[in-house]
Amino acid sequence: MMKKLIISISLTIVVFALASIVLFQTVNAQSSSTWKTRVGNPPISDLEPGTVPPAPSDIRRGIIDTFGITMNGFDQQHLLWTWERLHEVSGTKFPNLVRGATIEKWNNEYSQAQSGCYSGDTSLNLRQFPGQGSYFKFHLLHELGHVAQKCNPRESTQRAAHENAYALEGAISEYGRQGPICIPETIAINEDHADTIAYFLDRSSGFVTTIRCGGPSNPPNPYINGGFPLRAAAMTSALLN
Amino acid sequence: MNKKILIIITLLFALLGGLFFIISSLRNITNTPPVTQNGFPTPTIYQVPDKGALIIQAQNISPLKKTHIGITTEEELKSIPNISQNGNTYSYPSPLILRPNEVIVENGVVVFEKVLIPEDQEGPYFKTVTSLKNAIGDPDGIIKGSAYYDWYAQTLIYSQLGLAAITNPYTDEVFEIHFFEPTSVENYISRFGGDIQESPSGQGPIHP
Repeated sequence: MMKKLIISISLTIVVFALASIVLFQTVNAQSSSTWKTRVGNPPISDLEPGTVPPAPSDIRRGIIDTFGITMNGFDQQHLLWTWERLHEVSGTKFPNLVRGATIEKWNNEYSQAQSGCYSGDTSLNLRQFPGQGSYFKFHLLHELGHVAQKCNPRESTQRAAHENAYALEGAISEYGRQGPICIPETIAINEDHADTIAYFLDRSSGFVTTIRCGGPSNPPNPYINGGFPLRAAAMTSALLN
Repeated sequence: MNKKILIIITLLFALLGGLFFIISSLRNITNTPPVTQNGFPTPTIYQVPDKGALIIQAQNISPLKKTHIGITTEEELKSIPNISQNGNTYSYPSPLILRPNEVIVENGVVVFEKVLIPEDQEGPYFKTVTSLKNAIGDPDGIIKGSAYYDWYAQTLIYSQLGLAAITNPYTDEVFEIHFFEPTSVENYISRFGGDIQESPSGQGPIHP
């Protein structure tokens, strides 16, 4: 009788001890998990473009159904370019960061702006660049990059890592460097962030974001040959991993 | 031997029983419904925190803050690691290289401190607008537009509590917190609101 009592008490103590150990390890693992992602720089991965399926007859509806992005006022050609571009980056986290955006065709043929986020706001007013698919596609990524940047928690686009890369690597493009000189309302570091995202996702693009008072410039994509490694690491972490 | 063990076990059970009784009694006390008079419940008296308590809460809202406004002396600032001086403005490292934390000194005493809030949502220093409002209520003023963060950022000014927060209304994030002596909204803006930059259009910039 006594023996049984002692055994049952001992078992109870052992069970409590084991439960405490399991609980401690669970809590410890949760608190340290955030640091695990921060040790070392993630490798720079090559971006594999996503497969572009044939566009549906109603491309606008197809973009809404597939990506949750509403485009108002755009012609078939620009809708097709958007369909293509969003599929090209569909292997990344980018489409999820901009899901829910509304893009209005900007009637001023010279300007575009990022004006809001998702819930009932117009996310973008975007110019229809005529006859320049690659130019429009790059600008689409750049402006949606602002949506990703402002409408998601900073961690989603690695804002701090980008800003520190800006401090250490300099601007990634002419627009990131001197946009505010020509357009007072722009903020260089934010334009640089949008370009950082756009160039990362569109490896075929050079410095296509010419600014109003700057001449055209088309050197190679800044990331090729290992350029801007801090940004590449930040974007790999934000958009690929 | 067996007798001793039996006594110890009995004592242990008695102790556990006693503890159980005390806990049960306490729970009964806290769960006791309010005494009624004439069928009406006795009104519960809610304690409204006084301004002084709220000021203390506001001033301690972030453990990243290094000074006590109006108390910490210029001499004491020198103990902050990696602090540097430019006139009456001192800077110490924040998560952003280009935007360090700042302390402003007047007449040898700290009058302002700017603390950047890290973006790590799981980290201990992360802050949301919701948590801020839950702690210290609604601000005295809200101004849209920031010279550093851009047109969408909102500065929530708790002038009477000596606190202002630059925030992202779309994500509920707090970017940075400013601490100062309780004052008016206008006085905060004129003295420490250098980052406030209202967009004429209320929207993003026009691009080429």
